[in-house]
Amino acid sequence: MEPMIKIEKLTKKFKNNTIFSDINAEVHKGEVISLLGPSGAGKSTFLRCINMLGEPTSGKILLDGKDLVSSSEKELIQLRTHIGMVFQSFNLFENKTVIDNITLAPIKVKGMSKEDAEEKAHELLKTVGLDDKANVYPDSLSGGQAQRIAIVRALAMDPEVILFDEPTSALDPEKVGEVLSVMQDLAKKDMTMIIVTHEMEFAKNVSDEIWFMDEGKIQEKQAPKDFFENPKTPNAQRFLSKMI
Amino acid sequence: MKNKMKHSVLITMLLMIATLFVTAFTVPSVQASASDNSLQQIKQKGYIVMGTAPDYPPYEFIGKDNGGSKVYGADIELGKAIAKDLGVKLKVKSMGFDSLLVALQTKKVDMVIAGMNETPERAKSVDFSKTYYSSGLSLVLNTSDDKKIKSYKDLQGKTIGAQIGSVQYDAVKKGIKNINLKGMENINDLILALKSGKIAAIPLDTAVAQAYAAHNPGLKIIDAKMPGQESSNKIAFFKGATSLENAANKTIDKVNKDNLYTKKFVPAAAKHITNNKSQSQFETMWQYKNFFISGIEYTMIISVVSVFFGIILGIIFALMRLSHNWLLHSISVCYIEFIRGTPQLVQIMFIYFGLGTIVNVPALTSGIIAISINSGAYVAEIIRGGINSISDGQSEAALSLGLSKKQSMQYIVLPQAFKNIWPALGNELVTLIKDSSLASVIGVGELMYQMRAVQADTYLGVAPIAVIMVIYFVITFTISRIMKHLEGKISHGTND
Repeated sequence: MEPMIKIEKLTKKFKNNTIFSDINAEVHKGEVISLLGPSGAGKSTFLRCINMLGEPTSGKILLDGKDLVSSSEKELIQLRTHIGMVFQSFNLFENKTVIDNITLAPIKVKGMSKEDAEEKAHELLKTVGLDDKANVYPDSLSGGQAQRIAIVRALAMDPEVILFDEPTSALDPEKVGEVLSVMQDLAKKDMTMIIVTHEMEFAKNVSDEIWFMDEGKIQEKQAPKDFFENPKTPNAQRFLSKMI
Repeated sequence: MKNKMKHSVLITMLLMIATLFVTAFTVPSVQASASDNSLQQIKQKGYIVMGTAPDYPPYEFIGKDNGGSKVYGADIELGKAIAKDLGVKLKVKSMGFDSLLVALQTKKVDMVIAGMNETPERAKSVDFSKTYYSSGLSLVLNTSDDKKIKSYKDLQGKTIGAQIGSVQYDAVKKGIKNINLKGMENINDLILALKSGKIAAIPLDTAVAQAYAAHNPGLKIIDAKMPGQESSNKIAFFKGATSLENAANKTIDKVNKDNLYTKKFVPAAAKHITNNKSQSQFETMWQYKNFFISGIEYTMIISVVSVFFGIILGIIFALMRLSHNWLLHSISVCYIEFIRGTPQLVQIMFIYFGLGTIVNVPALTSGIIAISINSGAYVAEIIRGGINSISDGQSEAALSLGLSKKQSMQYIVLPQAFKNIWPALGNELVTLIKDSSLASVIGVGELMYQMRAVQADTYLGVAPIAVIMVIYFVITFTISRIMKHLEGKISHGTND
């Protein structure tokens, strides 16, 4: 089967500093990938390059065979509608109510009618148990609620894949569970996901594959069980010994 | 990249200044060398525009006319006579005395009749007609100084005031040694300074001095007894407008032959000089309410229109400055720095007189253009600050959902930025309303200008100033309150 996302020789340099180089990777439909590694390994930068929020220095990112790096501004907008993203700091639009946060892109980008977009938004909000928050502004939400709504906002565009950039790092410990359980539900429904996370237990239980990133390379790609029980590289062994 | 940007900013700036100079110095000389068809042009237009500075009764002053205001004066009567002989209508354009010759050179007016005397300096830039009226030099003093000052010789070592750009100013400056001379733009200000003891005397044209002294109890006039200070009032024309000048000289000959100026023109004008002595100042101000209302109208027109265009320009230039395109960025930086680095008063005069050499822009429009451009530069910086205050996460989230950069700006970043900068925009609006008073220099009839008119007409110095001060405050205070109210509305108020 053709991979949904194919990354070829992806390199990112900042001035003379190489963040990562020559990364090759594939993601198939329905796969859940957890991207692990020590702080400063370039995981977030790598993730942000996949939907071109960060511009890679060279290489290719193919989504269903189409390269994002070489595409025009217009094509890029089109391709991005297929890639959802959930941020560490939620980034809900502060000037819009919850429902408007969710329906803005479906209406403005996909041209959905307001009624259809809102109906769908309400349905999605119900699945995360937050339909009663539809008309409030983001600044009255707790972190856990905001992140669940951010996930709903991404889902409202019917993306083929969702990128999670440390989705629980900014949350109070007691709120982490409610967000992870939403993500777990998505995994069960075969949503394709790439997750940068420090939640080892979650990565172990939910992922189909672990990518271990360090020193500007993906050093290991393994099934979770193998990675956690038998890390091959010394870097991964050191990383796991610190984390667990 | 950074260096390249700085470089291009510098180059663009130099180019801009060079263009400015080339425009400013070439255009008038091109026109001056054109062949003389001045008379023909006037006849084709069907009207002649006369420039004057109406704070010089009885020569020219602003009086009431059916509740509105109108320029009257002996010079206006002369202007009418010339227009009549040419078979055209007369249009009168008022401005500061200082600006009159510039207006003539830039063809804003066809002739200047403003009790003006010929001097060698003036004769370099304009042509003068024959003398139509001669008058002596007098001194206006406080009655209490009656015994101390008997002629110009007694002024040595004293502080005196004169109107900037007038022959009296030059005469006193050259003729009296060891004198402390204070120049002011407006005769009413001089009278005020005299009454409050800041200056000891004002050298004025005799007829003008008489008009002022008659309306200000406590003031007295004496003959300055200065040799060679017989002044000869002449009409100024655009250099080389000989045919028009000759036609006007014919009228002047007629006027002089019958001594019409003294016999007919001055009395005709004197009828319109208001006498307010029997009323309280408050009653007088009330009588002039239409002046102030009309001033408020113009002030509001200038402010509202300029705010509108100022914000549009501000958004455009803020986005250009934030753009990654180095050309747009450089243009914006130059605009902002240049406008913020030059006085608004100078900008207003440059737009009116400078731009006026290329296209004819009316004073009100010039004022609005200049104030909009000025405001745009400040608003651009406010908006840039506002945009920078929004976290990158907001636009990244928008982009990740497939919105374009433009949509992200429009729906997410700008609305939030505007909310943050609302108080700063309110300040800018208040500043703009106050600065609209600068448009009075080019003769736009806003509050400041009307205040001058009322001063000239009533000979009251302070009361009109107090009135417009209160009016300005009421306007700006109301605006601040409204902005405050709206601020409460646009912040959605879930947490407060």
